Amino acid sequence: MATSPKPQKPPVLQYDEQLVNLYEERYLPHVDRVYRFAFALTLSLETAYACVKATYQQAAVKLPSTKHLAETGILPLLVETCWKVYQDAGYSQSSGGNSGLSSALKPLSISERASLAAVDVVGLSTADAAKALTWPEVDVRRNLAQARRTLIQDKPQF
Amino acid sequence: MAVTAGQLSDNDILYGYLPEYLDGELPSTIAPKYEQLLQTAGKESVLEEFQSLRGRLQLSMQSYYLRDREQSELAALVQDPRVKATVENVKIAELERGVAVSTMVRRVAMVVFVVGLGVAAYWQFGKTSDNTFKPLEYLGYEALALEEASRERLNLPSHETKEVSQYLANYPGLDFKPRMLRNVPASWELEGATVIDYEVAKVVVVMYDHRTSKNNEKIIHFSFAGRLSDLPRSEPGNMRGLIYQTYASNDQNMIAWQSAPNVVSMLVGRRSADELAEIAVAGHNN
Repeated sequence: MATSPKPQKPPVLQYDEQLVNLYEERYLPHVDRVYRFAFALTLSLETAYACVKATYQQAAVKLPSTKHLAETGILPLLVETCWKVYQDAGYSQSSGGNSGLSSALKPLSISERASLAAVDVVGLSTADAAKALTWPEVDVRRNLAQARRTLIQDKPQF
Repeated sequence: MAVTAGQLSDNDILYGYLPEYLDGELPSTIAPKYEQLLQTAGKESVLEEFQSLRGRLQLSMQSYYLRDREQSELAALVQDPRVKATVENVKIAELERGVAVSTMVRRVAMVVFVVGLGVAAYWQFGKTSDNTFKPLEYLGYEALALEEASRERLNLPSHETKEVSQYLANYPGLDFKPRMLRNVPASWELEGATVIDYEVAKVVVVMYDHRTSKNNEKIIHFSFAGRLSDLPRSEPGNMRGLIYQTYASNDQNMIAWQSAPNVVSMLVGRRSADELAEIAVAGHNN
């Protein structure tokens, strides 16, 4: 059964218009990609949303210190944060959902799912994915290769 | 640090670099070995299966997206929705104010434009009106000026009637046949002629000098295109059939008559109107 942290209403941060605009224009457009990455990790839509929400909470808190980050660095940062949130929050106990996609991804290890989702779903380069997942790039390549090979050979329906 | 072929198994290389191979972006450390591995594994089927897998994976994933309510929750992390609504209302109000100001500016500009157009039209037509030829005013002044400095103001100082006649007949741009008094009494001598160009009208001037006058008495014959009825009404005179109108200033008398259907003549001098009329009648008789 999926476990998720007890819902708490986060405090609303008081930011000036510039930071609010930065958040709305540079961070929020990536929510769906981060959500899909989180789903690949948790295999549950509900837990994936909890993961995304926690990710954006952290991103919002760090907004003043990351406001000079290049636009191309924001999506890798969000994936990195989501990955940490996933690991720290214990979502790994998730038993997953029942969709065809979750059934297809379930045979993969979490490392393989993370690599596959970061590169083939979110669209990061393997270098950015390695940085976000805090692994050597060679490990990401191995995980990626294993995930693709498994899915090609299993030919799951989704 | 770049990954080398030696760090990976053949399968890791083959499946790990499929997108890079398809995009033609294989690293140089991998490329030599990759084609060989691909041939061994069955190039077409591996590529086809991967593209199909990736396409289906991405398509399936795209059915997962956050709803508006969830996105609003994420947006609310940095700004209270009530504050956001207030900010938006303020922006809308500012926008409306901007639109109102812009509309006002446009209207003012339109009014200014219309007023400008009116002023321009007034100047255009007013100018024409102001520049309407006013013979009594203009020629009264010209007569005084010619009296004082006839030499400087006559383009053709000449005592020869024929010469003056030719000068006037050949003068370019005159829209009427110039008139001159050919048989003025012998006491008056032709002194010369000129043409004054007022832009709105050209006036032919022929000046006569009294031969025995000690103070260089002159009479000046002006002629220009127009109708006698264009001049202000005055008491009409009739000198042996010459119908004329009389005008006077402190210094001069002026008679005007229709010397041809479209030509008005004016004779200006210090003689009485009757005497001027006598001269005019004599000048018209051959």
